[in-house]
Amino acid sequence: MRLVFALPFCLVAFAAPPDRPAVSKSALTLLSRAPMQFEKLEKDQWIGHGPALSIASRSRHPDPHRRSLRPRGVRRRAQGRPLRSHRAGSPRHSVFLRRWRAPAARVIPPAAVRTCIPESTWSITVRARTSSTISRSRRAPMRRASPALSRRRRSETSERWRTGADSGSHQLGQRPPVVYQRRGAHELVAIESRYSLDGDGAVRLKLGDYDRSEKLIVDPVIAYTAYLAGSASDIATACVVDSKGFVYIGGTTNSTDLDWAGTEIIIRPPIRA
Amino acid sequence: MKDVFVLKLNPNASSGRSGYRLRNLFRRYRDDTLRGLAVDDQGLIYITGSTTSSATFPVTASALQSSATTNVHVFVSVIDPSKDPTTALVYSTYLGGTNFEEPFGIAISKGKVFVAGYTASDDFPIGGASQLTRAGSYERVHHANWIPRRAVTLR
Repeated sequence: MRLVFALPFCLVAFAAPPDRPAVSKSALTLLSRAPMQFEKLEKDQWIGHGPALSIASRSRHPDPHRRSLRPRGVRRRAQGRPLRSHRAGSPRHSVFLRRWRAPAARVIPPAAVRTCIPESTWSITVRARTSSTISRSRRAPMRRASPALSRRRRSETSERWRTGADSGSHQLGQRPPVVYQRRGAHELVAIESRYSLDGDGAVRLKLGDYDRSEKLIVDPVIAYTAYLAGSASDIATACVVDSKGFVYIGGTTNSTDLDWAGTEIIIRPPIRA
Repeated sequence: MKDVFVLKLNPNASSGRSGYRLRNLFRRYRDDTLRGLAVDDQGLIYITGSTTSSATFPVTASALQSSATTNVHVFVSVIDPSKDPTTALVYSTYLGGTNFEEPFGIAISKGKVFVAGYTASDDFPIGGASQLTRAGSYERVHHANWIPRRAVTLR
């Protein structure tokens, strides 16, 4: 953990989900909810709203306001005071992203932006609803995104949540969230993201360098995107996912050429590296 | 001129290089709006919405209500995606009285279908309801944000 805090990363506190057996929930949020948006609240505090799967509403660090990590000019908080909890709605959760280093607003040159799609996953073991432990199941090294990698990543979409065969325990694996920033009107810049395991069992999110002057978007659930459109206006009003992962979309359309029977729809990964 | 569409998307089975298979399950209606969708354990798709196309709306032979007035009415349809798109509509019915109705959602529990919405019809088909008469007017719905609700068991 010392090493983690020494790195110029931003950290999010994640709590282990106690019992989250849903295969379909994650896929449901995939299409029906907006991505997680992080907004700057104060000088050193960010807040995110979105469909996170497992969230802690306060920092898990024993002393998150210790002087060595506090940016200059930022007042020391009262000890033990919880961060403000925001809940936009009952199905949503809130995540706090606390910046541990002094804000250094700088624009990363395009050549220095690393465009990696993280492939590491964590598995969370829940034993008989009494205690939660987190073990590292597979953590592949960060690799540059390639077409082959993107295909494999999409094919593993259904394996985001895996159910173990152990008696009384379930293994849940979650892919690191997609983190990106917008540059200009149409350009997205991918930011490195991966999970790290805290000593007390909390899962934290480590981010690579990013442009601190721009909004940071952390999306833990989006797996793919697609345009499903006819020539006129189309509105999807209902989205359901069954236990096998099939996505059912219903809606209303004014298009007369909306006929997707047997057609191949190219579904794009959310961020093209 | 609004139509209803229902898609079944299989994100697990990719065919070809980077495509995913989509199936159009439902022939579109006319002047219809989809308001709710649910899927049961067998994979049947239950949809509900409102329709004004009383002449062209497809109603199956076993429908609870096979005809309706020209007002806006609720429809409830069941789609079997394993069948051919032309025969996938296994059940479809109107739901409404002489005045208009609008659904808000549909749910399935233990083989029973629950549809919730509002109605302005005094002769809305009710069976075993706890409230047998309509309690509010349509104007009251809009001005006081108060919605008289009914639930009907179809199966």
